[in-house]
Amino acid sequence: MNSNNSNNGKNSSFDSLSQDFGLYFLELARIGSSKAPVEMDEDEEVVPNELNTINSSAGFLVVAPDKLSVKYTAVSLHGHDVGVVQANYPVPVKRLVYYFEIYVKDAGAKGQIAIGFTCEGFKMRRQPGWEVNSCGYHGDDGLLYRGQGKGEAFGPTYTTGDTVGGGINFASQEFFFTKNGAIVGTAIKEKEMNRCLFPTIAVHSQNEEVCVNFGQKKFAFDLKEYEAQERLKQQMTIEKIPLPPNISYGLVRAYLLHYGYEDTLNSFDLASKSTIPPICIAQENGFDDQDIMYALNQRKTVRQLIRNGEIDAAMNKLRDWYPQIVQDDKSAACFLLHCQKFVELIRVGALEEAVKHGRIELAKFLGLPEENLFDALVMDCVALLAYECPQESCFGYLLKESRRDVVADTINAMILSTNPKMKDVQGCLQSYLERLLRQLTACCLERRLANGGQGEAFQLHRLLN
Amino acid sequence: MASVKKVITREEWEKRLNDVKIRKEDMNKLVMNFLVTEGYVEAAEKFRMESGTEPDIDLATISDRMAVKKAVQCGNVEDAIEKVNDLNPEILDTNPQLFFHLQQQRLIELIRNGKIEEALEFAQEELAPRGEENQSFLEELERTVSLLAFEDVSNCPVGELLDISQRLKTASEVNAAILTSQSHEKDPKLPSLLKMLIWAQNQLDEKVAFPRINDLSKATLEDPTV
Repeated sequence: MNSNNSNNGKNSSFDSLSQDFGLYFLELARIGSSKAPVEMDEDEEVVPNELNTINSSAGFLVVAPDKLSVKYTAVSLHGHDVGVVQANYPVPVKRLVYYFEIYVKDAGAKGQIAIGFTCEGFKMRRQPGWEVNSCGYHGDDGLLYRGQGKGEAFGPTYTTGDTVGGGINFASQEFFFTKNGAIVGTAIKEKEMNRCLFPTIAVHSQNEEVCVNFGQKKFAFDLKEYEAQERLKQQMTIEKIPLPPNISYGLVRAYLLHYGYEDTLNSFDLASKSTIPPICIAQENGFDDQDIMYALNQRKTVRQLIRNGEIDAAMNKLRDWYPQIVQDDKSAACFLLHCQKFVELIRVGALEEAVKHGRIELAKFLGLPEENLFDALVMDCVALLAYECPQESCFGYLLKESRRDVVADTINAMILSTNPKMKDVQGCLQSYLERLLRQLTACCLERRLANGGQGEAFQLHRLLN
Repeated sequence: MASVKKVITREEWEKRLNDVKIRKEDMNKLVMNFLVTEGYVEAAEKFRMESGTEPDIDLATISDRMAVKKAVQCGNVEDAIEKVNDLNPEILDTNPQLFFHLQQQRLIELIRNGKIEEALEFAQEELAPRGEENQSFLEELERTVSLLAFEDVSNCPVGELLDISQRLKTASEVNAAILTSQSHEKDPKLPSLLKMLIWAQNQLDEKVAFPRINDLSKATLEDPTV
């Protein structure tokens, strides 16, 4: 939350509050718009999808045109003519598990095939696992090699017709390998090991041929089930943690109060009275309604009007009840309301009226020095005029019902801020529930950072959809 | 020598909190999920109207489920069983443990109401055959029947069976089974998230000093302890 802008000295502190609130909710609204879809997923990483033909040990092997299979073409003479290929991108780390598979089409003369992970700049004539910062599960001896020429007993050998998979579990920081759909073993991924690892396959004797699957086809191994099991393990630890009694109930109630969902709250309270055993959140539990009970009915009324698109009616109510909010024509609250009114007029096809309204009320927001968010929004709104089917245009997001909610939430926050008992600004903007969810997200992100940026972080959106 | 933990100041942490993107729609979904799973039908209806959030389960089925739950909570087990079968006869068919617990509750209610003869008959006809099939059922049956041996049930070792908490346990079990049969998760998501918060804070605490929220009901940040 920004503190007061330095510019408009003559703004009363209330107006600048309005400014901040408006910007806050506008910024939040951008998440839902088509304009900022990529920002949302911080966990976007490139994913390997084919073999890297540029740095592979050419001369010893040939990669098929589809870049998904490789054949050893030389006659292997020693330990430095291995045909090694890496994937085109490194293993993505911001997830629970990464996994890929190979299918042994032909084990050739000696079946000296390997699957594993190697670092950038790996010596591409050596088997994965024979050098530091690499590991490999070898088909001819079934051993696991981890950075040394000597391997350790690990799993079965594998040959023509076998499907072998290699994966990294970021929660347990382990490598794991599978053969024909079943896990054969796991090995700790040392902390010192290079962060950036590439899925790697290798062939080393005459006529060996291997295909690779980076997820384009169904795996022989049930990866989804494995991930589900991993999540379940963590879930079971978490489930054991005790909670204070009725805390969820209290937070839901506070949420309803915060946003002014009065009818829901009344039904909720009524039902709780007849619950067995009856739920009572006494003061000991810490819930203090005083502050958020404020103006409940009025907030509900205004929200309903805005949600129904009746902007004029909403503004009239505000003039009656909270004139200070809509007094200044240039306040963010007025801005949002007028924009929404413009959008509502377009929605019903009253284009001439919309233009008239825009000229009177919105033009003044263009070219304001500070807030380019206002500018951008006005431009988007006006652009709607150009389309016969505005809903289908790239500005169609403005016509979504959720936009009305943005305006309603802003006005709700503004009304809450008029409460003389309101201690801090944050209380107007965020319900307790929201604060807890933010804390949860921030903690998980920070925890992942502390773990070298690897693993799954919490994302509410993903959990709910 | 102990290593020094990295410290994140309050200001720095608040900035990170502000960078988090939480959608209003997602919070609404979380609340709706709570209302629906816990069975607050009218509240869920009103919430749908006031917030435009669609429930993830057919609201009509909630009333039926709540009627069953209530019946058990009030000790009307026969009524509850009838209602469950009306709702979906497969639930009890595929859930022998649940069915046994409901029958056990019936027995408890008969004993509670002093209907000793009826209780004995019921135990012999309905519960004993179940007990033969399953060792743990048999043990439960024995515990329940032993209530009859005591004049003063409030002091006997199995007195807890007569406690309301036993009814609630059974009611919860039925509620969960119905939800599962409707392919819905039996627990609301919100409590798990709260537990996850506590867990995440403890995990992070091992590596970093940062502002914690210790009182979930007030959601206030405490300054980081150095």
